[in-house]
Amino acid sequence: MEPMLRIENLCKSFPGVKALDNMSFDLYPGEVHILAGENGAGKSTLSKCILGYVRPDGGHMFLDGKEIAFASPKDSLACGIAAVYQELTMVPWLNAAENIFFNREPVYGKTGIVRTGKMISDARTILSDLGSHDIDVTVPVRKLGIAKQQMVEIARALSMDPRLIIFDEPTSALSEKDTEALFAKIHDLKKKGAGIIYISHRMKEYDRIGDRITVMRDGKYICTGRVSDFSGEELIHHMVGRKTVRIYSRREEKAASRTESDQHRKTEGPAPAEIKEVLKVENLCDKKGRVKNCSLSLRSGEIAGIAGLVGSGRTELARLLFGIDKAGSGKVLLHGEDITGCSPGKLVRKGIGLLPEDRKEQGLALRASLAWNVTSAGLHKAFPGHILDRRTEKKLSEDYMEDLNIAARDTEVRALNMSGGNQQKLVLAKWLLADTDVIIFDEPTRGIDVQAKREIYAHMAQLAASGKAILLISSELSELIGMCDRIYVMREGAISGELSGEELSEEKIGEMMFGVGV
Amino acid sequence: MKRPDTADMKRLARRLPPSVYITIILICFFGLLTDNYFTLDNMGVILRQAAPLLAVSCGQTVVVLTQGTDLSLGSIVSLMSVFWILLLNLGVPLPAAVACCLLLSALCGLINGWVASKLKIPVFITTLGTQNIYKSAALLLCGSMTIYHSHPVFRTVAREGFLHLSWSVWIALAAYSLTVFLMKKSRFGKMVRALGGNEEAIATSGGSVIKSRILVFVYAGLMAGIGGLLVCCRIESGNPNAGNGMEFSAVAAALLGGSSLREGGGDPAGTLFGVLLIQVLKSGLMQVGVSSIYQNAIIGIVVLAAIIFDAIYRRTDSE
Repeated sequence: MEPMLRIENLCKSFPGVKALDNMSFDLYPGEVHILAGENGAGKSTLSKCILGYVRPDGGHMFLDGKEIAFASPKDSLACGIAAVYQELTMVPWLNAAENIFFNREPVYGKTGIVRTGKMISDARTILSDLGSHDIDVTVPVRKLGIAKQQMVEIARALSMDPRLIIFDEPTSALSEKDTEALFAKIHDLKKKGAGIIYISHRMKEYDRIGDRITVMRDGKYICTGRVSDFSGEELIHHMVGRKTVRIYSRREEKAASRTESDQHRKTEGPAPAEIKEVLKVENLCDKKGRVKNCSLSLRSGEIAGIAGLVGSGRTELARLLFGIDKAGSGKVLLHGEDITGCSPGKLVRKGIGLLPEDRKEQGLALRASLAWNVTSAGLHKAFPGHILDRRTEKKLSEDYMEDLNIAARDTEVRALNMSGGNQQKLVLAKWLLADTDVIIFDEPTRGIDVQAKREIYAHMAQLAASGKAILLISSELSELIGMCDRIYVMREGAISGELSGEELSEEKIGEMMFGVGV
Repeated sequence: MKRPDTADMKRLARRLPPSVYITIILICFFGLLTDNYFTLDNMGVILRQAAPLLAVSCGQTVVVLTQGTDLSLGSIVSLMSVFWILLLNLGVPLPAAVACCLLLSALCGLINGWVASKLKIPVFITTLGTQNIYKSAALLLCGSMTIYHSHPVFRTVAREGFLHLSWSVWIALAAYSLTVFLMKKSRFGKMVRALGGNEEAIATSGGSVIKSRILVFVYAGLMAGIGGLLVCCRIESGNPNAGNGMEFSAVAAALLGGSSLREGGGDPAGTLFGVLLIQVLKSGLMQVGVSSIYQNAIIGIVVLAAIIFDAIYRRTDSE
């Protein structure tokens, strides 16, 4: 059989980076071809070339045996190529129907006048086909929440009835149920003979839906094969290209260092008296009923986790703790002092930091430089005299670049031009400088590569060891289990349970998240 | 049967921009202070004065929906009034002169759009530049003086009409209806809203950001051109200062009407009420006899208050 898409020796350079270096790739009809690699490996650039977003510098692309050179996404759409982009590409104040059919609205004849009724019913059909009956297609999408927005984005691509579709991290914001619905849809598309390119960092998904997998590294083609022929370690090995790494386990590291210190200095180590309660939350509720009666406590030197499905109120709780949204009732105590209702700015000075879930929108000033971002939360620490000093800023930034292994040309590079992993490390640097006693990590490793993940885990462990209190919010259960001393599980806005020690297992947390077996 | 009716009324009441209520309050206020306020003639005069601003505001609203402000619209108004009279003085037949004017105003918009989108110059700066260029062009064409031409059509458009509304009001209302219809019901309208929100959406669905943006400015230019012709009919002359400050009144009208510079959402239909508010206030202050020294300040305060009120109202509404 002929491949529907064949790519030969594709090259693309951006200032300072070779994003694609002699990349080759092919895709057969009716196949799900997974594209794997670390962030910055060139997966997104490759898909942008296929879509006509980016023009390659060299190489050839063939669709059905005919060479193609798209000038814009308009051309690729005309050839039946669609994509679910990693970044949401919707207009926030248009509703789901308007977004799904944007620029392709059903019109009366050739008038350009939109048939609103038909558009709305068509949108409903597509969304219920994806199992999302509950999405109101007539409210502005910004009111829908990120998971539902993602479903709308997927519906938009599917509504184009594509024969080649690229999914770029489609499930990173989706719940289990939506993910299942998406996978079912992908199976349908396969049966109809569509070709699917699937980009994801979630290795568990590879076996579920993938036929073949191609690994990329530094813009280069590394290998291709059937998904079943690779083990997880092999894939990580190919992606990272260094010796095989295991995803970080803080408990193992701790155990190792404990036995070491036991041998060397038996009586030393932190005295129990030093471990004190730093943060106490009592019956906290928000004003919209998305956080209900949450109580928790956080001690110095520990990492506590918050597990929960998307929409269970995890992020809303973090926003309350950091003073972004105002609490409806309940109390937050920091070192015994009531801090309920303080503004985020005040809370930073008092000692709470938040690495938000969306680093691009909330964590960084993307157009500002790396150095600007580093000092943005800790201005009061870096410049106690209120006057900025470029040299101090540069020095601090360089220190953090080295400590956190941030890859950037210099301290003046714009955050915008950094890869996801480096951006996240930059957010971390910003909070290290602010030096707060409590740090809340909301999905710190979403969409970043294995290597950066491990580095961030190691830094979290180090922070805890130095006496900071850490709250880790995550969708990845293995991450929570690997990192946390205790885990609170949230369900429908309330804390449905707390687990620690030997109780920490995927099954147990899963049961509490879904509310079964209790 | 009655219940859903009241619910519908309530929803409608909530959706109306505050400028509607403020306008009603102002009308009552001025009505109590002056004699002969509530007469059809007086209302007709207010609307007739509002007509050019309504046309310009329609264009400005479209630009505001893309999160920009076109500062050159007032100058286009001046330029058109001068250009039209000039053409008529040269003996060009009236319909041809009108067509030439509309073409020129579209061209002015095209230049704005091309510079802003193709050369990627911020809209504010682009139109600040062209504002001065078009203004100078107007001064140049008339030799810095008001030029006159008498033609019966001016009186017909500005004074005669239908149902106590002059033809100029009907023309402005037609421009307004077209704008509302395009914004709500056409692909062009969706495009405009995307320009204010997420340009990625246009690109990923195969549209052209540059083309859409140029079209927006051409549309705004055309509307300003219509506004210029209406002004010309009213003053029966070509005045290079006729459109001074109109671009700002138009921005205020759009904002008062509920189009928002921050959220790109908002309702183009509200612009009508924004225009009415400004005109009722202007003519009311005049009729009450407030010194012109205070007039601008009072208009500024009311406009600002209405916008603040609207922002608070919107915030509580979204919670």
